[in-house]
Amino acid sequence: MQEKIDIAKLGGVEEGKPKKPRPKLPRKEIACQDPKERIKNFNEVALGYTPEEAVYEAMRCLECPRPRCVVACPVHIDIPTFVGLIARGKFAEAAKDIRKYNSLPAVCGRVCPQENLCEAACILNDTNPGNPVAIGRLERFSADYLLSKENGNSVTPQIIHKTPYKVAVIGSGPSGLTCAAKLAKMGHTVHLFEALHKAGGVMMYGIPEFRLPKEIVQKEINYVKSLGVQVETNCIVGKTVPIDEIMEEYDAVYIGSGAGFPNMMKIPGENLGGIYSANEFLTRVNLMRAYEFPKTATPIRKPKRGVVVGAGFTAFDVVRIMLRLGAEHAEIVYRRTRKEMPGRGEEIEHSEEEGAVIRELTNPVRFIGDENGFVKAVEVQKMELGEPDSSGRRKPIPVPNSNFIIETDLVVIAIGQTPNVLIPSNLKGLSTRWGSVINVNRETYMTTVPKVFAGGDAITGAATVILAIRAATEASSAIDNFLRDPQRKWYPPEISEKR
Amino acid sequence: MDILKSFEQFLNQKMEENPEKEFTTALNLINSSEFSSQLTLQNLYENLLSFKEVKDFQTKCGFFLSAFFTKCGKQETLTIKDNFEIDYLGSFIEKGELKISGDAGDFTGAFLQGGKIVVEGSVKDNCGYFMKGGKIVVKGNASNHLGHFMSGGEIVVEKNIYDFAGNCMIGGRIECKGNAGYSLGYRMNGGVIEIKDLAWDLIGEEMIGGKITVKGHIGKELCQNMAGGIVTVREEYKDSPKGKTSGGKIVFSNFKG
Repeated sequence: MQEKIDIAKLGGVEEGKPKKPRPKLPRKEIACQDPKERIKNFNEVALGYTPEEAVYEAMRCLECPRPRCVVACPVHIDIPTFVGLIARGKFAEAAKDIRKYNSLPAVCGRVCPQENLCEAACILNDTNPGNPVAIGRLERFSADYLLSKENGNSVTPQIIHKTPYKVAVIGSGPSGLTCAAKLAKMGHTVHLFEALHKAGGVMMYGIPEFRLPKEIVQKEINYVKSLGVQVETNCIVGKTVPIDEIMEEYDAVYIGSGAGFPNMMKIPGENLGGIYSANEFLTRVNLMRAYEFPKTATPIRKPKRGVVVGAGFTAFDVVRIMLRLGAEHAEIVYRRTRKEMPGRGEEIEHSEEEGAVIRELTNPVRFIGDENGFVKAVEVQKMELGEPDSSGRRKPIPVPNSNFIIETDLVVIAIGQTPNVLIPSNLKGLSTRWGSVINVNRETYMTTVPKVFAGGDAITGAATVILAIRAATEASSAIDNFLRDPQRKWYPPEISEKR
Repeated sequence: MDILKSFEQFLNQKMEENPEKEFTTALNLINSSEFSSQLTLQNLYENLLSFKEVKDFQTKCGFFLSAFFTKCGKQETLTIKDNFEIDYLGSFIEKGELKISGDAGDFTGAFLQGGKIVVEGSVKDNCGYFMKGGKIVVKGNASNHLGHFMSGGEIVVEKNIYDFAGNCMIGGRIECKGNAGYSLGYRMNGGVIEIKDLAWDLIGEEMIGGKITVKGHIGKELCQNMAGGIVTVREEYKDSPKGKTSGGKIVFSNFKG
């Protein structure tokens, strides 16, 4: 498997020689498909680093003795070590080192908001703002290298002590997969239950192919399976299998069912044809490959003029899909300004390159239908910003008499998701807030129901992949402690509605 | 009874729910054991490693070594073998200096009453848990929940500390010469935390009392739901968004003089 890499030729650090970092070099940009080309296909936009580019970028890292990037990474990946391994030509070892902390490096290298986390903390920002080491791209490079070398035959870490305990993990998104992988490595028997026909959760149905290829997700899932995790798809816990049965059969249960229930605007006309929730739209396109209809069984409305409400990660994914479906005009309608947008800088930039229009300080007030009951326009209102609210962002305030009409034939509402109520409503005694967000003890991830733990979006509402991974990592340690504790002590959350 | 036989007996006993009881059991067994006055902590540790594969060894070994140090130790160095981290090292000790060469496991220096522990490497979670006095110096990194519920004494970390340092802390002092992760001083009620460089998101979340100083960069959601205490950060963050507070004070300083 090990391929000989000529590190001297790549400009890296040779065996036995010290590293001389080159922090003053400019950050290496990643090659991307041309915007004119990429809006005609669903292939990945960012093409990734070549070995030369990766070594160049890795050589910029100072390998600080007190690395800030590590504390800013939610799962505390040992970043200087893996970057150092890349600089020394040990690409596969770098990915293996990341896997100690994060079971899904190829996914996180693509979708994690590094510019707000590890890269924001990088010390190179102090001398040259906006020019940190491209940690995310290096993570992606090493993970892809390892996956290509493993070629579906991942080398499974040796599991030393197999325990007699069985754990059920509900949901196979980033949180469920991480928790399952960690528990399997600890020697427990893990069964993973997935409601859809494919494992992967939001990585399969939510994030489009051009941002996260499904082949990559499948390889990461195969790695988790290789650890001995048994995955059962098409299984809705609470419907296909009663929760009581799961509770009886397993020593512990982890709920990582994510946030798959869409928020809607609750304004007139929202039930018109041609108005989708982002979840439905993305599931049709990403999971069911509706863009290939009629070759595939699921259709999708192909727009001429599309409107997306919201400006988070999902909204930018949707607007870019609309352009790929052939829209002549696709726009984001957002009630605050660009500064407050939760979407990633890179995604916003890519969307605009592809022709998406961003309309700031605008909020829909009603949808207008045609004679067939399909949306034909959206009435919007101008907004202005007031004082910051509890999220720290300035609150949008409507401007009186500023309404106007935007013509459209497809609207997608992407204003956030909440967890599905199915599990909370079926599991007696499970405390929730805001209807379906599960309350847990922040230190132990224990819920109000003994032996039931929860993590990921199910306990926070929709957040990022890396935060779900962090919760799952911490919860897996808590589950392990619980299973090994002779008293099986339970520390439920203090119920508080304020968080 | 030979000290190794005592350890075997201790290892076969059901783990106590209360760490103090576990430590007392270990101490009683050592008091009733026979061993040479030349036996050092290092010799004992190396002998105990023959039980490495037995369930709960990691924890029981830590309590046993701590009890041995309490009885016999004044100034000892323990060199960790094969990177096999031991939990509860230096727990409950009252005096003397224990130097740990290598990495230590969870709950290092837990319930520390006095004396000094120096860890040459890194420590895992819950170092200084419920500590009441004494000093812990960590030359490497400290993982999550450093100084959880500590009420006295001092912890100095030469490199970085990860998340939830000073969680529910009541008194004492934590000093970090590097950076701190998320949720520094979460639900802190007293004591002092000083970070020389950066501290990431959620500093002083739900803080009730005590003092936190961060001299480097800070992350988001500063002092979310803070009800008391003082948090001091750089002046440049004066205009950046803060969390919702119902009390306490955020001080902006240029850290000069």
